Amino acid sequence: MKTVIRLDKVSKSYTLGEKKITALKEFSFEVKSGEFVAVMGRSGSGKSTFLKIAGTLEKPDTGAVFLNGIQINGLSQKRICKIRQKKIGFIFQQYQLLPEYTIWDNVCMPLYIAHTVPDKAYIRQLLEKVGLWDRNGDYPDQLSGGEQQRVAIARAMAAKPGVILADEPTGNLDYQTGQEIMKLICASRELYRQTIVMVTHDMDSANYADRIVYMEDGALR
Amino acid sequence: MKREKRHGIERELSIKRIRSQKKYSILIVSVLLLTCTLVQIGFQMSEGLKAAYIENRKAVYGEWEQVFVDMDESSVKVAEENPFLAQTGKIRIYGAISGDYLENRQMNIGTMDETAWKLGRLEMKEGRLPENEHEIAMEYSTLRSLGYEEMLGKEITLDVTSALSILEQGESKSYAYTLCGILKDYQINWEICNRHRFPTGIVTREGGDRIGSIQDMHMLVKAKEGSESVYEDLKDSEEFTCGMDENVEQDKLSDVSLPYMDFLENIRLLIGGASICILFLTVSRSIISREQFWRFLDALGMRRGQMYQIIFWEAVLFGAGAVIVGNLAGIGIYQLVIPVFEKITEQTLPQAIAWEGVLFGTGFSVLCIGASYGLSAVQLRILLKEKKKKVQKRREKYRKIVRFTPGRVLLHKWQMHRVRKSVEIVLLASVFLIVGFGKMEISTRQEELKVYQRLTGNGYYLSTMEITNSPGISKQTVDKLEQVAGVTSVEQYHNNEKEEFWIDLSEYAESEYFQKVVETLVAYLNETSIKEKISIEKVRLSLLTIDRWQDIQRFLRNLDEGSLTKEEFEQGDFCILDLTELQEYDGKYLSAFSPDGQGISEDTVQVGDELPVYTLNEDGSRNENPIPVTAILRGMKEEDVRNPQIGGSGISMIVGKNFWKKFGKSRIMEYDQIVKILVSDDVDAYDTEGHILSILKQGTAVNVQNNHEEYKKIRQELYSFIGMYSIFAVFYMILISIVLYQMFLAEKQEEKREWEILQSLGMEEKFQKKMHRIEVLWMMGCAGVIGVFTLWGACRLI
Repeated sequence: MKTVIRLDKVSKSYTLGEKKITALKEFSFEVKSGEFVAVMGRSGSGKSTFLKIAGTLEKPDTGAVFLNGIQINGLSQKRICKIRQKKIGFIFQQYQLLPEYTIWDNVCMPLYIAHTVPDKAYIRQLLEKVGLWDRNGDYPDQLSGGEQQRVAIARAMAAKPGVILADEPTGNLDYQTGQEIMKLICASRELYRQTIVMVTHDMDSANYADRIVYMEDGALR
Repeated sequence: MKREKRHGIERELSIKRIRSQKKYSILIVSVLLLTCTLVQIGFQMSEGLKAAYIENRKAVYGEWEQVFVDMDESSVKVAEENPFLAQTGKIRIYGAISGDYLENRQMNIGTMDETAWKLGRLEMKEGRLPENEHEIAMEYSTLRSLGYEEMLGKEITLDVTSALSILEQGESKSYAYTLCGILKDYQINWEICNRHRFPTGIVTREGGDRIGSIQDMHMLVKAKEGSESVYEDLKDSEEFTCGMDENVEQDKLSDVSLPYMDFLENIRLLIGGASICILFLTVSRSIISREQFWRFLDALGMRRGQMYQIIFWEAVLFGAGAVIVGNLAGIGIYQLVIPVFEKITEQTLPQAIAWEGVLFGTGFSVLCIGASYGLSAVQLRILLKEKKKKVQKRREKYRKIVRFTPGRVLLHKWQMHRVRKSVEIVLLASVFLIVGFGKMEISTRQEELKVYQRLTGNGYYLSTMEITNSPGISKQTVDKLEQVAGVTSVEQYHNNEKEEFWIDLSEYAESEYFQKVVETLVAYLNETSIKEKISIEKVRLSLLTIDRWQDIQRFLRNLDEGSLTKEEFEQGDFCILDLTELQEYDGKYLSAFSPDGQGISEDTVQVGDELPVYTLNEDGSRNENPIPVTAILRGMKEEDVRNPQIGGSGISMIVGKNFWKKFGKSRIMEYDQIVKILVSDDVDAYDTEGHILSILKQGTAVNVQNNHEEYKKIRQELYSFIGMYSIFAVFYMILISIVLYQMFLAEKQEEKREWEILQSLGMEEKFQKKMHRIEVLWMMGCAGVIGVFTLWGACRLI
């Protein structure tokens, strides 16, 4: 199977006041095409940093990041943004919806940013799948947490990306809703043959993955 | 278990928040502090300079508030017995130096008691006040004009008459006095009471008795503190029959007044308004931006009252410091600025702190801060109650995204936060307005100054005054003036100031030119009753009478129709009609210096036409004479347009000496004379002035206006204006910069999360940068347009 994401000896550290914190220490990792990987570990183990670097939201201090075989940590800002627009979909723990736009606009946002005309039928299909078609004119703060996360999933799918990066997608939800969200993510994966990397603390969610990896002190355990 | 109740938690919460949010606190305090400083500078400037102005006025006119003139015994009694008058200083006039009316000044001999002397703030130049009946102290300029310089301690002889009225011919008698003191000039400044009410030669009571009985009595008075209304009572009193004149009224006629007092008052008003807006914006923004915090406290069960207490403590902690430090800084800056200001204006200003300004400034600062926090608390209450509904409504209105471009996203943002954005734009616009207004004012004044300098040239104007009743400056005097070294030209003119001549233009009612002249005349008049009297049948005529052939030359050079020979001129029966092209200035139509074919011209009147000119008799009937037009003047070259110029608004004529005779009028008493003396640039101005004055004292004297001095005065005024305006503008801009910076910072923080989301969805950083660039351009553009329009509107209004 083809490798979709590859991190090669990636290191990343932050400075907090006078203190230097190493988030990733020569971290190497691969995700194959169509794979669903769950990344688990204690708080501060470097899971979210790994996800941000893999999703091009942050640059590594050292090491190389490859997406579909292309090294992305040397690319221009413009190309990185293009990759983010077309190849990667994000799902966050805090949903990260834009409060001033409707559900429809939030879902279409990646397409707007890429200056692509939304395929209305497809967006409708997405919203129907997450069960929120009848709420498409509402605003995020009119929805419950679970509903907002479902909008976030629909948004992640809108540009039909090959990779979905999810940062604790069920972290803010109750068990029942969390399970529903996980089922939705799995269904989407089946439907669009996506590669999923999910960071989670929740073993029940992690059990949906093909592979579970554990991180500790910025490296794989 | 009994729970211990803890007090002052609100204060603690406020303090903790201020401590933890250092950057925010510094910003808020800077705005409050700078606003207080600005307010205090504004008050110090206006109150301080007002105090300086009053001090200057007192130095020139004295401290008296009212002068009672031509008093009779009953009026003296009423004044002396009035319990509300704190000081009454008597002036007794015994006689006048005979023949002195020719000097445009009545030189009275009289006494002044100690209170009058003190209230008048008279000062000795040399010597002392008289102590016996044979001594006299005289004003310096009087002595000079009588040729009694260098006579201190020596005997002088004065021809004194008891006839105070210029028109009366009284017998005069010679009196010998020893000149014991020379007073600094004061009479020249005491304009309001026609000067001649005050003695220019001061003698003792016994010295006065030598001349005869008291001819006239005046009184300088000052009311007890807070009893100024006594003057109104006295005015209304039937027993009090004398005249009353106010000291303050003299300001209008003097040139000791500080420039731009009105401007200062307006600046203070502007500072006040701006301070209220800025403080309210800053405080309200700081409170509303903490919406989450308030909602959280609300969720924890905090009562509204407790929230208001947190706001109150913040106001106290921030405000108290800002009021104290800001106001002190304002006083300090003002004290630093004053010496500079004195240097520029060459005026002595008091260094003392204007305590009224301190009081008002501090009070105003406290009021503004208190009101801002109070209003913000009300806003918070509304926010916690209703915001959701409001936001929802706005969202419904602006929900559609058409295209996701920086401009569209920006527009959406502006629609969602239109109040905030409008405020930011208005603040920016106010900067444009302030800068534009200053620039415009300065340029206008600079232009005026240039024109003044160009048109007047280096020289002097001698003019008789309305109150003179003097036969004016004789031809002989003018001839003598021409002989003074350095004098290049002397011209003499006569204006009809007191006698009203009218012209009936109903025959030309269709003429746009004359219609505009009437319109302009009406526009210049303030009083409705006078406006109503002006019509096409009744237009006031401006006359310039010229006696000497050489003085009319520059008008003759510019004649468009007709001509005037020397013989015709000597006969004195000519009329040159000024029909200079009119041009519009702010809705008014004034004569243009040189016609360029763009304005409104008049060509229906022809040389030889007879114009119906008339004066009004006491019974309202007309005394009419048709005046034939000898020549027409339609424009002057700039080098010829030097004051006195005919033209302006109204119909003007240059006429000969016989014009007046036709109406049975004697122009001797009815005109104002102007003599223009031009001197070469390399001449010592003061030397020349000395010569001119020495010629005038032998003949007829008048006000001497030194063009060079006038120019210097206008330039100083300009500098002082620039100085004051710069101080204000710099402070205002600093303040606005901080306020806007704070607002933008708060916005950026709010948007941070939004941008992070958009970036995770693939938005490029340059999109955000582009949006900010567009935003800045839009804001500057909008602010510029609003600023320019407001400026235009304000200028039109002013």
